[in-house]
Amino acid sequence: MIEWLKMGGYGYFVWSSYGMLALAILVELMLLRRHREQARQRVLDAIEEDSS
Amino acid sequence: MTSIHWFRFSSPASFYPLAGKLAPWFGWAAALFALVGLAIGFFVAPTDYQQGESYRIIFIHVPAAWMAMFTYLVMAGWSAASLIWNTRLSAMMAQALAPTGAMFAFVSLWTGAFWGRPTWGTYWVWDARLTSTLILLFLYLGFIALRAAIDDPRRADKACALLGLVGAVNVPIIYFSVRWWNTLHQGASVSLTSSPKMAQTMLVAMLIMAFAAWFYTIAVALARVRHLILEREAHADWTHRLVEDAR
Repeated sequence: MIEWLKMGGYGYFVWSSYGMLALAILVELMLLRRHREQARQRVLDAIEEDSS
Repeated sequence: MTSIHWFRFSSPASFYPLAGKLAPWFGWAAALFALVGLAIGFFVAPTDYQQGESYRIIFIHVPAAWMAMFTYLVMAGWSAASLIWNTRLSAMMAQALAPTGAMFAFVSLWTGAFWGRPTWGTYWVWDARLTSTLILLFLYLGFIALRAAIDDPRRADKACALLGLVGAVNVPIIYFSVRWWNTLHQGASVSLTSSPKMAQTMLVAMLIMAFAAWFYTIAVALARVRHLILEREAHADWTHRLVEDAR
């Protein structure tokens, strides 16, 4: 297992690449979730505005 | 034969539920393909006789680079549609694709750097392929920033559509850069006109990962366009009913 993670001496380069992809996807999905809440809130605000 | 009224879905109110139904399917497909692609890439594909294990970066580097280029072309297509037919949904689709395209452009540059270091001895060179890909990232970021800088959504649609169209000229420059100029970056290993220059299992893993990138992009863009629709239609009755029903 440790031997496999070392990637024949290239572990640093391989895992830095895959790690950044994982991080980028994670950040995008988190921003997407926040966007959903913001959009919902925008509609809720609009409902309040329109009814007043 | 029943006819499907495709233009019905060009209205945000009817596209919203359709996108909501489709997005999870594409998301699961992306996860499944990525899992299979990585399994083949790491456990079936052989070690490269020249590059050792470092070449395994290819399974994310090439799909990310392809996706970054292709997403820009799709974005330019939606931009053209929004200019020609003045449809709001087209502009929103372009807007929904930009962040994911930027993400893949960044990832292709990053993984390229970490592949370049062990194989070329450097993280970065100002060669035509690398530089034009950096410009692609800046075009995406410019598109997003331009959108944020204009308050009136319809004017922002027009300005962004123009930038999206003009920027598309960069994509063939990236693609053909390795032929037009002497680049440190290698030429195409996979093309439509010649047989691939790599082992069968490597190619299979890479193509499966490319499909995973496609499905991921579609899933995220569909989810994002829903949020954009809600924001743009915040004063419409149907969004009010939708959000109140969900409460």
